[in-house]
Amino acid sequence: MEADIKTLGGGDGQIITVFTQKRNKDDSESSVNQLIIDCTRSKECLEKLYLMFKDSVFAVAYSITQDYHLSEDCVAETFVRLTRIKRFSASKGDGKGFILTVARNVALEYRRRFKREVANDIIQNYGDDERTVEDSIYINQLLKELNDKQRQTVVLKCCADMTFKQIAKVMKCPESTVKSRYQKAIAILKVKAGDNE
Amino acid sequence: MKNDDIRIDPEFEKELRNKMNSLSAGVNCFDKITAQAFPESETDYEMVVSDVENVSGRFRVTPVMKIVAAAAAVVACLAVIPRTSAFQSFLANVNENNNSEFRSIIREIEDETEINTYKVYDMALSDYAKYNIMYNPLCKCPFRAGNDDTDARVRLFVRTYNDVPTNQMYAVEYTGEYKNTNFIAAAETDVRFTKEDLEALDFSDEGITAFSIAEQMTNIELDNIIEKNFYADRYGEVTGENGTQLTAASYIYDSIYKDADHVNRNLSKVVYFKNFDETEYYYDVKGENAHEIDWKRSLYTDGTSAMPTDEDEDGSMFIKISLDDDADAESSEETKFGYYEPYNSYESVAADDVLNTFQIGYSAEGRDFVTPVSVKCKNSMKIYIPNFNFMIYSSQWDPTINITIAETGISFKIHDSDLKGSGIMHTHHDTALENGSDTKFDFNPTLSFDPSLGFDNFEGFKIKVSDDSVSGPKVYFFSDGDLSGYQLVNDGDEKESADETAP
Repeated sequence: MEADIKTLGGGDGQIITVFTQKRNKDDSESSVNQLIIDCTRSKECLEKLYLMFKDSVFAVAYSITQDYHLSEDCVAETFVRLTRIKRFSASKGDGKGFILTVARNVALEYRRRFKREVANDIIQNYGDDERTVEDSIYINQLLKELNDKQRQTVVLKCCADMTFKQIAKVMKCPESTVKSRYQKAIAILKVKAGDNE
Repeated sequence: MKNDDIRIDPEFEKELRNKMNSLSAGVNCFDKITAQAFPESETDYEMVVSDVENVSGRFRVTPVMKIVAAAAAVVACLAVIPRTSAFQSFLANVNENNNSEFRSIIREIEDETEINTYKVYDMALSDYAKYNIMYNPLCKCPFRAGNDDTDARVRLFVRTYNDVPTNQMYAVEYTGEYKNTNFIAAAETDVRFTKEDLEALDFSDEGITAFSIAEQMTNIELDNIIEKNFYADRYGEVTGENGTQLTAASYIYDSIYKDADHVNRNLSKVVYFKNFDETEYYYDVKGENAHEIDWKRSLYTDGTSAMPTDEDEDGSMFIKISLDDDADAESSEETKFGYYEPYNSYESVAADDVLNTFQIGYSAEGRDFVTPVSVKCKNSMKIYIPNFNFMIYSSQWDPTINITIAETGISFKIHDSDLKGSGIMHTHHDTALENGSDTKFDFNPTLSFDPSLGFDNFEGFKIKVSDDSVSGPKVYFFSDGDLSGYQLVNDGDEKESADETAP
């Protein structure tokens, strides 16, 4: 629908496009917010949220734990915690940011709890099937040059599709810091890519 | 960094996203989630019963419909019943019941302030909401400040014991004169200290000594937090991780906290900072027992909740962030920062229990920076400055940091001698040198400068030497106006190449 409007062209068309996009965005945000409230009592709402955010939550967890099975547990725990939320404003809250904040807190908690065990493991848990192992190794190799915060920033930006402002809120730091971390991370990764070539 | 157009690499983003999605595609834990989130199997049971009932043709009234029916009945009664005096009395009672909780808070404030010692703050609601962390770093404003209630004020009552604030607190929002008829809302933390609670706290001489040691340790920990989270740039400013210049400060909040199980005296470490190009402040509170204080109730006069429901309504200028605080880490021998205590410098003015906005300037232009409200917190306030700062390379004989308090217009200066910290290099001023020639010294700020040649032979240069009476590195600074430079000389090293040219 948005694409149709964009093809109209002309000054008026542009204005219509802007309004349309804004309204759609708000609608989607408020629907996520409503789902967060409803998922405390509705399995269907929980399932919708799960399908919408499973990948992002996993990505956030993986960027912190760097362990496939631990990240899987984080996904489960994050959604279980969402069903126990008591205070969330449907009208003004940022649903996506809220979910990913919960995910980040869960992952940090799990990492702290299992840090010693993970550190003692010679081989990190990359999952069970061949494809998963391959992907895990690829991502770990790619992100290993980054420090913890840079890694989280890159994953939140690339895999969770968040804005710098949203990331700043999730990571509890100034927006300018997020931007600079992201820039530094990309610069490091580019150098690494150059080395590989 | 103002620019939002961060250069990104779409190919890289796409690749990472695809790999991560491919990795998470194998994750399927929804059954596990529902098993934990909705543990009972009663749902299935209910379905069966419902189905059976439907089969039998019996219509089951749902609870929602019952509620709707009851509400409709009440509405019908209210519409039909004549407005007699009994009815008016009934309505008044309903109203009174709504107010009773609000009134109980007000009554308690009146009783408590008669019997016990309270510190009372009175300020505009907008100020309290904006700078709540400066009033009490452990709790936020309990009233909604997002509206345009510009004349609304807040009176905050904090119970104290031996001049130490506790978490037994009350607040009243009002307009105009402070009297019952002008009250808008009231809040309480629902904490009550008994005589035994307070007498159990150790305020003996030994206790005070132990507390003083704890305070010193807290001060060291605060400095460590600063060292760990901030950086110094080549212009002598404190910066964040991304190089943004900022003003950073800290203070200690001493308080007595009671919860269901314990009564403790806590020292909370508060670090806050403001980027030069932003208006918001960022802060973090650390401490073993730095509990957040919850306002238990905040009610309008009609009994409805006055508590801000989200961040947009609390109106705060302070954004909570999480600074690194590795308590186990050994403090580094090399420090980046020193500090000055604005309320303890010899020129500073006596502090009152009011919010001050400093306009801090090295030159004509000052930067706004708010201070904590209580005198005790003010006295523990430190503003951080890199060890290598403008005072070292300033061509002025007595460079100062000028501070004006915006609210009062009172100004005072921080001199070199007010700077503290193990890494701070103090300078003293030598007189301008008169006799001699410049043949022995090729003045070039980019070349090394040999202090062993002696300064007495040079004319026209102002030379400042770091304090000879203390051990450690010394800085030799020289300037003839346009040209200037400095050199760091360590103990035992008569000569070391110049680090940098002063800007």
